[in-house]
Amino acid sequence: MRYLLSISVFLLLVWLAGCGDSLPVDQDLSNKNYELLNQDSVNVNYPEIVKGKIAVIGYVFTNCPDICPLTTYNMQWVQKKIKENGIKNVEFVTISFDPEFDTPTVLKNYAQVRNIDMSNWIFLTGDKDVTDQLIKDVGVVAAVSDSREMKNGQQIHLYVHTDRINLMDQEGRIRAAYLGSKLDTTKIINDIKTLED
Amino acid sequence: MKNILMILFLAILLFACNKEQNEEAESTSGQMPGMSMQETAGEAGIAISDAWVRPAGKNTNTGMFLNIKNNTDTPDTLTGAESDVAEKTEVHETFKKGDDMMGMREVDYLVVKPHETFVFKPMDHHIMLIKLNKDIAMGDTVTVNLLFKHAGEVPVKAVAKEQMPMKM
Repeated sequence: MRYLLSISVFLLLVWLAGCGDSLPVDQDLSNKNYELLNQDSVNVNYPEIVKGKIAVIGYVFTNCPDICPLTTYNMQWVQKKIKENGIKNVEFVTISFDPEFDTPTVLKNYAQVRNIDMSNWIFLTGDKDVTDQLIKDVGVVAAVSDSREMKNGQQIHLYVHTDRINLMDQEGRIRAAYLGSKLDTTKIINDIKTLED
Repeated sequence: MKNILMILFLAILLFACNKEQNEEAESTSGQMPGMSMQETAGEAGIAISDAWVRPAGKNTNTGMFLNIKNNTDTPDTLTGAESDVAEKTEVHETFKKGDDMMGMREVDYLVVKPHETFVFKPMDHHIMLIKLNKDIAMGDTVTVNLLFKHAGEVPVKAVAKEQMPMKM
């Protein structure tokens, strides 16, 4: 019986250890500085601009017809739900990995046609070297898979890319990753509440 | 007796922890309730239903989704699509690569079998509207002509909306 009890206690401790460490630090961006542009063409330093807040971050390109709009819409859903739940101090961030096409004007229009509530949401673009480094640092991959040449000679790129939403804590540390297009909204809201405490 | 009570207590604790994690794991991805849209009957036995398009800005791309039902006794082939709203209109499919990578590619043609419905849905097939010549905002309507081998040109009207997660 004592042997059985010891095994049970051991299993419980292992299990509880897992429960208590539900949001380990995945990537620490607290000492990083990415100089980017927001949707109003204002220079911002990321993640400094969201420090002190919990951030929900999506990675998109605006020419994406399927996965990225789902990611964006799921973020809108979470934004609405956390407001209904009275959760404050959360910022939503959309980062383009196609910055040469996704100018601030394009990003602003992307938000407007979707009726996105911009009161706690920023869109970020900038120099491609900077956005490439940023997505690399957080483990997001985006590679051009196909292109179309338009009548005016413009190239429109289609990407194979990581389907990702990240959750970042108030210190600028990535604490969780989710599938953007199939976001588990219950889990991310619970995780936001955990970081809020 | 004391040991049995202790094991019982531990089992209850484990159950509680497991239950909490299962509740957290509920996925909310899926389709929007009330997705039903207008029913558009095409020529030659091709019927279109539930056509909708995602909002998107001028000069960018978007996807249109719909159901195509072949009411005839012979297969028909979707060979392409045209629209005045975009510079190019193509038939695309979304594909998964690895655990968490997604991409899309053009599809040359699609066969709709007799008396079957081919569903264009998010994360699957879509009509790709490339370089829109105007904004498509929520509630706007766009027209796309689907080109079939037998049925010919079938016009489709799609209303702009967004997909919601299935449950919360």
